[in-house]
Amino acid sequence: MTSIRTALSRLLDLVLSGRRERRLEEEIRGHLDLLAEQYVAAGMTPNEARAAARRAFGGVEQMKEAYRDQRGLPIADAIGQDVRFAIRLLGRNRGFALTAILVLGLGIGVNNMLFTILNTHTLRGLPIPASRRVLFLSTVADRGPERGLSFPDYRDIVLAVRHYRGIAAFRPGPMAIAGDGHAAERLDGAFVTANTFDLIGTQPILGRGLSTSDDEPGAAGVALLGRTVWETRYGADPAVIGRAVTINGAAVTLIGVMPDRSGFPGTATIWMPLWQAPGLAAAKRDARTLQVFGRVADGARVDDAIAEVAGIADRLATEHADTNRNTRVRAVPINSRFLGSASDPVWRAFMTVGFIVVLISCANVANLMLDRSLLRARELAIRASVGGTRRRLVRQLLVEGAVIAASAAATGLLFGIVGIRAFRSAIPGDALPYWFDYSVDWRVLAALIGVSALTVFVFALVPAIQASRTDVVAVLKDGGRSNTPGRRRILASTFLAAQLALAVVLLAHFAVNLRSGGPGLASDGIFDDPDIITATITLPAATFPTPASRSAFYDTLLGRLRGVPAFAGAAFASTAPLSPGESRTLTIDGTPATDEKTRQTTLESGITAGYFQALGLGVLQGRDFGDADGRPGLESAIVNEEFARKFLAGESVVGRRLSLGSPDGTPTAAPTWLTIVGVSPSIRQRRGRDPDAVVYLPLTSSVPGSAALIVRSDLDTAGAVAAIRQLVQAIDPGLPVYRARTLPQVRHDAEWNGRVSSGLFNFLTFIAVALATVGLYAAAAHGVSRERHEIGIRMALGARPRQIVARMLRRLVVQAALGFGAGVILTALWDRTFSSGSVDIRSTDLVPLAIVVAILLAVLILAAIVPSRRASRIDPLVAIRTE
Amino acid sequence: MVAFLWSIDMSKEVPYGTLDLMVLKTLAGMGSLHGYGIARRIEQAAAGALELNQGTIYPALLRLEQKGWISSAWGTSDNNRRARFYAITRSGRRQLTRETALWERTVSMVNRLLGDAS
Repeated sequence: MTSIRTALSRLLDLVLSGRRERRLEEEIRGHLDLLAEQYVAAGMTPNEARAAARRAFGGVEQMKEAYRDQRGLPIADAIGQDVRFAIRLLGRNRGFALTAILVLGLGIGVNNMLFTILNTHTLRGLPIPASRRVLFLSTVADRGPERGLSFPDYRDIVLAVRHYRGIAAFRPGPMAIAGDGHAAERLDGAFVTANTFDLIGTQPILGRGLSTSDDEPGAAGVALLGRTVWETRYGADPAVIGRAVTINGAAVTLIGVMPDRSGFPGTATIWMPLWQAPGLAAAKRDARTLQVFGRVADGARVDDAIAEVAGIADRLATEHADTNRNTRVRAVPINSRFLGSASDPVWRAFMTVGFIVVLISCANVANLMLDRSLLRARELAIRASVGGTRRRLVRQLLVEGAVIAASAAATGLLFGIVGIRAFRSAIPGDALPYWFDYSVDWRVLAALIGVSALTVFVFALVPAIQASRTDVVAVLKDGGRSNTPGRRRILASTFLAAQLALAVVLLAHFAVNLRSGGPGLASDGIFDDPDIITATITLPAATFPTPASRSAFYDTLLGRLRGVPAFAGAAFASTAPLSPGESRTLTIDGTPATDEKTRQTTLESGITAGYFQALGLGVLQGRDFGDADGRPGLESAIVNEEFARKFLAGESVVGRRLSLGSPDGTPTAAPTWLTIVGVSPSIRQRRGRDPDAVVYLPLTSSVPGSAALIVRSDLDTAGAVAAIRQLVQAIDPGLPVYRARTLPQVRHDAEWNGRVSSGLFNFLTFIAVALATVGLYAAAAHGVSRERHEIGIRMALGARPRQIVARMLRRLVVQAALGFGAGVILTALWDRTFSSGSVDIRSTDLVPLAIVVAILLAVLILAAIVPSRRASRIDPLVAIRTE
Repeated sequence: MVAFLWSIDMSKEVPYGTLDLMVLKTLAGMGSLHGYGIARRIEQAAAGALELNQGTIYPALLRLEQKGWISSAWGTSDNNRRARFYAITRSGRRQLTRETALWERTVSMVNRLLGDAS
């Protein structure tokens, strides 16, 4: 209590310091007068009395100083004074100040940019109010992939829970909007339960949201538009509310417009009630296609809500043993489902790189400070000799460091924002879900301030303490010239070696990054062929209800496409190259039966005849599909080369029989045996991975509602797409043709992730190495020219230029060896720490390391030779005289 | 670290030196006094046993005032001079009691200790 009171009173004094000062003056004057009167009364002359009074009072100025110390906030006073002094001093050394601020700002900026990315992807959470109380529900089986919930399971859970404010379900899917006088357009959509937007806290900006009466069997069709669609398709016309359109061929009324960024759970821009989803009423308990999330009720505990769902699912597993045996429902916080974890090795590696860059820039600035404190040795020595304590000197240098760091933090924030802009613009606009918002928030600012404050201690403390150890007498005696005591040189060398070590770590990874492109495939050429075009066509269930009707459409379209002379080939596939498709369990006739543990899986894709020919590849063994394949009695399959290598190595492939499990992993009672009729080349289905084993089935065996068209064409891309669109809409005017791209574009889009992340890493490495190289050169060159004096003496005594250069080289080589050694150890340490995890970031590879060492060595040698040659050429007399 | 570099002397904050105790005691006994009067009074009480730089009482007065143990106001002295008068506050009296007790305990303890040693 008293201390708060003291502080307050002092603060007040700080403000009122002028008044207090006058009051003290007056009190002292009065006191001295009274004292003098007392002495006069005792018989002194007035002059004697005044002198005696002063003696009795003591030193007036010292007392005032003590008074001032007691008054006001001494720390704030002193810091303010130091800061003002530091700013004046740095202003006088603008070159040094700017270099230090820029170098440090670059390091801090890169670090902050990386932290912004990390923050967005892991820490910030989804833009949902109280997102920690929202749980995502999914079905997990003892084996097989994580899946959604089936509609019957969803309904049973909704009816049974007590700890939730609500549980919502949605099913994303493409929606073709037409029948409103505009061209048919395909949009990303979702069928959602009426409570979805309420639970994520989003309100319509126009019209109304979904009500429970919209989401009932037999309710009239309604839809909500996203703001962007409303603006681009309808020119933001408010009269759009109530308009009748068709979506996927069904009549629907538009009832509301939702704000942008409500595209949860991803890129949806149009929403319809879940009950409008085709086939919902008939959905079986093992059709687990719904994505489900729930908000925990106010007052309920999240753990209880998680346990409650698990309990209900256990009950369902016994009640519906035929479908739910061995399945559980798991509820996890929605943030962990849709965002990464900061403790993931990838992110830890990411931030380690960020800190390496900061450390390199710190080492750079530390060397600058050290150099400067050499130049200032005389000033510091004089200050020390007139009574500046060591503590005060350290303090002054630290405050200078803090001023630099604060300016660098502001610079770094700017660099970071610019960097994030560039990073964001390298990512295709629709590639990331809307919730990845790379803006600066309080976490980013806190990290910025924390890192900047930390840098002061890294780059300023050691040089400051070092400078304060100056031997006053020695410095003043020889004019601050030859003060390159061993210890200081060792420190400079340490910073130099540290920079080298850190640069080696980054450069080693840079080189690895450049080397690893993965093995090439014979089929990779198709991704360079701009004549191959793919586009997606989706057949709405309303107008194409049966497999036969869909199959007829595909056949008709292919027939007409093949009739166009400019098209050299055309085919449909359920999954285009570079899309993964469905994973299925596999049994091969004549191989040992597999159990739960040894079960093999393969990708599966449906194709029409002519698929490989349209890609310009053809089959390697056996034959392509014909029109009859897939009909009863002719159950056939084509496998790719990778499949043959993986499962049937060294055996004959054509003629073997295989069977696939059902898509959701449950084994089928009576396997359908498919006969392998051909072997195709391996085509990449996933970006940046080795090829997958793929089984191709005739498209007719399971006709999908949405398929990728592959066309080889002599026309330019736009012309070919226009021709395709014309043919499609001649059959059905409501059908949009979308995602039309050449295969090179497909690859470009699929690789954005790898491109952006390796681009980012290379950029970081470049910055770090540029910083380190400049720093190395400057430090080494500076170290040499600092010894001009000594070089002069050596030359005067008869040393030859070559000997001078050799001497400098020897010293740098020792520093370099230390730095490289430490760097190699750190690189190995990095590998040990980060080699686990999903992404391979290892690199104990000698070739790139050797390249790295060679580059840095070249820089060092240059830094040693150029200045020392220059030094050795000067007149010894001049060198010795130069101060 | 910060405290070290900017030499915040923590011991200054901890209760106080004998001068503070003497000022409080003086004010408690004499009522309201100006700086000169306090200094005179302390010197008289010490009866020559104390060489006081009279100026040092001003930082002490400020310190005590900041802690709320004394208050001050301008007034007129006996010989019609404008002077600042200091008076002890209620919390100052409480503090004096506390400190006197502590002082006596300390002194008796040290005395016992010294008595044992001789």
